Amino acid sequence: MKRIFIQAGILTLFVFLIGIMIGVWLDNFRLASISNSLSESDINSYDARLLNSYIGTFGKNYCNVALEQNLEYNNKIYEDGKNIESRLTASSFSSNTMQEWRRYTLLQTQFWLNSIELKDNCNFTYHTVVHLFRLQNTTTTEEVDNKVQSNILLSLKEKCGNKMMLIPITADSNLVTVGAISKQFNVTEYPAIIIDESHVFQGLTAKDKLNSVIQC
Amino acid sequence: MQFTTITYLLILFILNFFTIFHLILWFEVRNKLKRKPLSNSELPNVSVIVPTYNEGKLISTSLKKLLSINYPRNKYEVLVIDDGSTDDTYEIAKKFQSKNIRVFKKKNSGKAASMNFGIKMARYDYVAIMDADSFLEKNSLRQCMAYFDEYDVAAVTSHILVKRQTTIWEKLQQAEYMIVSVFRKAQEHLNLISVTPGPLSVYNKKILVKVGGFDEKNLVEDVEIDWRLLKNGYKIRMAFDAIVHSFYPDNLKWWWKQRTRWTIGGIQTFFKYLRFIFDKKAHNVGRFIVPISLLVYVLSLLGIIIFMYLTATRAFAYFLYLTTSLSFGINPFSNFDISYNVDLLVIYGILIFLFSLYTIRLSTKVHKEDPSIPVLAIFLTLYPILLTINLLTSIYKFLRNERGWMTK
Repeated sequence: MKRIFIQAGILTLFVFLIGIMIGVWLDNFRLASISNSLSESDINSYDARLLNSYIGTFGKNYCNVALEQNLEYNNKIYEDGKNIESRLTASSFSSNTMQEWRRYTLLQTQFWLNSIELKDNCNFTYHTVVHLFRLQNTTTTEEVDNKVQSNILLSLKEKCGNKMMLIPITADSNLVTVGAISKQFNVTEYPAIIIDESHVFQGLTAKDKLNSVIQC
Repeated sequence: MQFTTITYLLILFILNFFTIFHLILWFEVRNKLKRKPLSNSELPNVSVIVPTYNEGKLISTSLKKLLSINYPRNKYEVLVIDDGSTDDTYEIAKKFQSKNIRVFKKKNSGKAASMNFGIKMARYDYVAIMDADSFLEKNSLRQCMAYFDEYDVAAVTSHILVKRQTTIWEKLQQAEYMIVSVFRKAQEHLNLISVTPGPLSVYNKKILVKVGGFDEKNLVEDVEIDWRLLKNGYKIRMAFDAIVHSFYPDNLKWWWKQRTRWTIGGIQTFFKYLRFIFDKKAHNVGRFIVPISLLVYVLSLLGIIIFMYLTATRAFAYFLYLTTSLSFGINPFSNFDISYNVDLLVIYGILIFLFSLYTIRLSTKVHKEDPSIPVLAIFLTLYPILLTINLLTSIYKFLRNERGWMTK
């Protein structure tokens, strides 16, 4: 009996290891594709920042190009965010996904700052709408509120188009800049929405309330 | 990694271990599936006990079949024990009464009591016990007797198949029995067979009496007697070439009742022998059967509890999402994401699923019978879910002390 037990144990371990190896390979493959995509966004982000500085230094001839580029960049990182988020729900071996998420949060924050700068430099009238939410250790109610808030904001974005820059930012990503944002705007409840760096809404906020500020 | 993921991985790992364990055993015995039958002069005398209860529709056919088996007529007797039937079972059986067929009627006291009564009345050293709704193939009894080749072989079980296969329930049972027969033959190699089923099992009467006969309080006396024989160090064999066709539930209601009885009886037996866990004196019952049963019960319950918890929390979250979305005037199905990331659990699950398919393939090859694709699909998906739900309700009934015989 002992011999058969040992043989079965070794074979089971072997099958288990094959499963783990395929899992790790798939994990790495997905992580690499996200990482590549974010690297591309990194370049776009630098490009947008440079263009902003260029406009600030040499004049407003390139305002429309910068706006177009900013929007394109926004769409791309939004897709990146969806990819990373869906990957976070899968059982994974590595903690690298969280790192990629932090990188993504930095890019979104950068996008917000770019949008503010661009608005000032080129006298644009669009609204910047920051959606601050927590990702970890949340209650079911907060998770649901985040999702519903996200849907409310997406429907607003659909309505407003380029008049609204939607920027989702994870509050608990352990980044100094993001911490500073929460502190500066006295955010204590999530989800929170910051419109045009002046209006702050805490907790799940209805579309009508947001619309009264955005008006588009 | 979350606790739930680790638990499910552990369950899958153990499940895979036992599949591989049985496959290894199978490869060790696959060339020894058949034995040369004994010649007429070598065959011992056997008393065939047929306990009956309201089997009026089948008893006549069953007895006719029993009288036409390939076994010397002067070497076996048939004892029909009617357990106080309310139909005409006794009257029909009585018509067959002869020197070698004895028919008894007793007050209704359960199958095990009928069998014990039959053992008392039996004239010969071996007793074959068979259900009244079971039909032996011509050589089945003869094949069984070839396995009593050592003094400590206490029982020989047969190879059960489903007689009528018209409804999905009967087809699923047949698929299950095809796999069970392969596993049971494999278990014989290490003396680990854990049931001597009712359709046909032959016992050494002296040993059976020595260990105290069948437990009349147990719902699955064929499991309990098996464990008791193993606990006392006896051997149990399986005659793979002794085929018996038996009737099985053809509808959900009957199937459910039968399964509930089997499961409650299994739990009853488990608790009876739990004190022998890891007791070397209890032989394979202490070393293997009780510890494995404990592992199976604990992991099944843990798996079910986690599954129910996850389902309930997700259902609650979804309900909350629907109500919150609607109260905020948002279409809950807008931006609906159905993407799914294949993770380790799924990959490992697929590997184990492939092993299960291989095991099924082995058993269908041996039986030269392929279940249809829809039956196989249900067998691999819905059937385990149904068995799990049945396990839960059985545990509930066991705890509430609802332990009736639950006949059709």
